[in-house]
Amino acid sequence: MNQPEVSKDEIFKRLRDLLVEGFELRDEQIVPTARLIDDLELDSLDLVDFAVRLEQQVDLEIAEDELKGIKTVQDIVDLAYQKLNTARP
Amino acid sequence: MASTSEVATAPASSGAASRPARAPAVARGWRVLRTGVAFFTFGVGAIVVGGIVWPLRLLPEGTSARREVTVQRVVRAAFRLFAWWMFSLGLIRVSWIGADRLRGRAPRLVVANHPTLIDVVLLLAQLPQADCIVKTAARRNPFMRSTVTAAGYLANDDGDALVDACAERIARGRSVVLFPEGTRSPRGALRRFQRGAAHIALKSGCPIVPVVITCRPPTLLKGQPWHHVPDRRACFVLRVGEPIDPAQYLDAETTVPVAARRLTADLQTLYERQLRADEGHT
Repeated sequence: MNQPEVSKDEIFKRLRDLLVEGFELRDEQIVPTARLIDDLELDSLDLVDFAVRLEQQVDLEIAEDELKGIKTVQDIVDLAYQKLNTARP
Repeated sequence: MASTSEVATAPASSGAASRPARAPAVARGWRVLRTGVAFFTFGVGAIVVGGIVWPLRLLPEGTSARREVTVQRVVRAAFRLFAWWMFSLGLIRVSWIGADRLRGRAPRLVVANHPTLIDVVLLLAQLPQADCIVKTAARRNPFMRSTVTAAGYLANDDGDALVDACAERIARGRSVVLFPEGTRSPRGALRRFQRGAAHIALKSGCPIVPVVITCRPPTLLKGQPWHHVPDRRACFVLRVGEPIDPAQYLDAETTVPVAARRLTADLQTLYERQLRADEGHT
């Protein structure tokens, strides 16, 4: 049985820290169902910046197409979970 | 004119109740006619300017920057003429406060609220050179396409690419005009500012020069038919504020998105305060 090395909880916490520090959001705003554009008020420029931060600080590379498909915080958690764990040997 | 005279000389016995109602109706009709003339003139002017600038396309490669600035000068002259024409028709009066801040060749990012259809006309008539951002519809408009393309005006299609394009223009010494609300303001209010202007300023280091536009009575609003004219001449006041240095929003601990949020919030507050102050003086 494969044991994922990075749990969804851990990814969520790291994403939350990134969003709070990078975009001046409050902890309580960052919930799995929060929509990036409508609830957290990220615009297209913020999303590009966010993708760069993910790559630099979480070692997670998100392609432009994947970025367009992300609507909520949970979407990023799921994508990160999948990418981070499949990338591990 | 005959009908105006007829109303003015109508005998009292024709009905006192009808006189106050007829005179404004005639005045309104006359104002609608003059507004129609202004719109028609704008359309004809767009075709004429398009014809004037069209041959500039034939200039050799490598001269596009010079061509764009030349076309912008033609547009400026045409818009000055059009603003004068609207004044002569008794439709508008325009007052500038602090216009000195728009003079000189240094690049600047001119940011304005957008209460009416002709804000861009008044701004471009004042600026020695300005790259502005136009809707895709204007770039496709057969009457305007030639001029918009030759002037090097930027398309508002893609947010990220647009920020880069504006910063690149500023780096080449050009000024850029934009409306951070993205479209015309609602009546007597402001839309929430988008953060593009702040991102451009932060990326380029160029100061933002805020221009607060008021128009009383309100006219040429978004969604308002052209023939819905006010009952008197519309008075525009364009107040140019102190330039805002974006560098003050950036330090080692502040990310660009956070700086853009703070700068945008301060800009919005500045406009809201100025508009409230202007409202209090009327």
